[in-house]
Amino acid sequence: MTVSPLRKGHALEIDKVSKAYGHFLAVDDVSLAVEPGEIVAILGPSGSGKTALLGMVGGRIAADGGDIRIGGNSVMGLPPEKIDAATVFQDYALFPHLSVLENVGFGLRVRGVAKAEARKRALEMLAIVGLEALADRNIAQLSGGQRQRVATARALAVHPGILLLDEPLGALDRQIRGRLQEELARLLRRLNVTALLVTHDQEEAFTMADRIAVMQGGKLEQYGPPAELYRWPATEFVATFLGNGTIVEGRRAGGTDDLPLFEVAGAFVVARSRVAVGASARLLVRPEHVEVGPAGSQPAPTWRDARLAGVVNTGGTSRLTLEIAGTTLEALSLGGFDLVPGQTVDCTLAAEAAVVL
Amino acid sequence: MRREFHWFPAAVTGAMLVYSLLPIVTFTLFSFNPSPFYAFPLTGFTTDWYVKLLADGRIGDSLVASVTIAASVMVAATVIGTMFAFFVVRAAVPFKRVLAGLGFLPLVVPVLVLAAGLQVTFVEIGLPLGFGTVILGHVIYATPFVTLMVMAPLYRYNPALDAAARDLGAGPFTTLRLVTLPILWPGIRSGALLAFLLSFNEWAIAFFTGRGVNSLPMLVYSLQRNGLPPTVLAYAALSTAVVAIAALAVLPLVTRLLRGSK
Repeated sequence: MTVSPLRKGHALEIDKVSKAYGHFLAVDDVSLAVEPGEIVAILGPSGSGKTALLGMVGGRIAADGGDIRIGGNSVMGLPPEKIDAATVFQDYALFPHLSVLENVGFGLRVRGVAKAEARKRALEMLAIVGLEALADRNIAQLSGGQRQRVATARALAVHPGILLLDEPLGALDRQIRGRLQEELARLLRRLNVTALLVTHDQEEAFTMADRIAVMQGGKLEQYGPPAELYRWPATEFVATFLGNGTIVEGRRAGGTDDLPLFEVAGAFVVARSRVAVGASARLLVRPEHVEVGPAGSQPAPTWRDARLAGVVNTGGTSRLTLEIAGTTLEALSLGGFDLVPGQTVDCTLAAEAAVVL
Repeated sequence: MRREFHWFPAAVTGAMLVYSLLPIVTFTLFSFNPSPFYAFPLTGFTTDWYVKLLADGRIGDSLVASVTIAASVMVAATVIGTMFAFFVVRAAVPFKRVLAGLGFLPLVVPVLVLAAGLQVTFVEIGLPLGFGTVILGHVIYATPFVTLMVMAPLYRYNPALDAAARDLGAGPFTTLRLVTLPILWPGIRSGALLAFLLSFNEWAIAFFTGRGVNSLPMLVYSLQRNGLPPTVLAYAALSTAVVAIAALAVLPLVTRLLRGSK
């Protein structure tokens, strides 16, 4: 099916925005810029302020300070109906008394589009999400995945300058969530929509977003492309919130600015950092960067005589727990079926696999 | 899942039915009995009392009066009661429980006491007793019932629906008209019907605050002052039939409200 892009989405600028509820700072001086046509995920645990931030962009929550601009126009103080944004709500908030088609056409109707034209455009939008056959159904007759798509179509039907999505797939079963994540991201990209997505699900953020903003305690911890956040987390929170890994203590032992060397558990490892020689640091070691093999199997291992404390086979991969000179490391091994707990192994840390926090 | 038959609820329901239907069956039987004395065995079958009742010119006037009052009460009580339900469920004001409790007082005060109190109040503030005061009194009496009927769906109402409507471009009034009220409609409709019936059947407030108001219950009251003529029984049977039909129309709605379907 061919899909013509909607008008290109607007840029969104969130500029030093704060929101307090009594003494509780829900959003604390957050700045964030989203390019036109970009998909940005705000990722954080519950209570991190991500939903409040989305509510302020949509005009449902009044910001205490700062400025929010959509397409260069400030939306501060505007009621939701005057803001050039549309939201896919958590649990969808579909109108139970209207049909699928009437739900999708609702925004057009209240914006004064004539009935026949609204119907035509709503049908087009339903075709885009692949639900034109269900146009006359009741909402109660739809599955969760179908409701999600109706909610998306309803928001996109008004051609919003920016699409806001509040945990859009959070209510769905794990199996269909993964498929819908890719499907939704592809749709938004084809339609050239600017989208701001709130989620607590790391996989959802990584699958869908061009850039991810990690929030915690009302503050923006880090903002960047998914790979950058994963490889070079700026804070310990980002390091542990995204993916697995072990935080280990190390000490800058020398090396150059381009190749800083750290001593970790009696071996030298390379990590990207500017800390001075002699200073101690905390390093993140991702499990997939630790290669493990039987003793003597590796030509130049980072650590020899590591003790394999635990092996948990999870199907295609095994989670290994290593003890190296009093330090515990996690490793991920493809296969690893020949490894048994208690045996001595060689470990190699892929270059620059450790990151200083 | 197979529904099990429980004899105890069934027995209670049966007893309730007999208990509430017995007087209705009795006066209906006697309304078709030629003898003006209420004693078994019945002496035959006649529709004379119905003919006599309907031939009495006063019943037509009373019907018009009752419908006028009940319709006015229905409109006013539905509007006020619905707004009061929004206050009880949604408002964030101090002493809300106290204020809501005061609003529900007419539910617990005996109607006779309410009627007498209304009369004193109306006289005291100089309102001439008549149609207006009866309507006013009935509105006070019926409004909390409407509120109760609307509160049930309003408590279940998902506020995100309003947010979604606003988000899509609807102003507050359009949101109310196209989303909130249509979804609450089953509750509002039941409340309106209930308000109509309560007013239509109400005697005490009409008696105390309606000088010269000849509503149907007032007519019945005047007819039975010297004993109970069978024409009153004919009226009772007729009005019960009308009300029962109306109630049967409301009952599925009430059931649906309480079950929370939709």
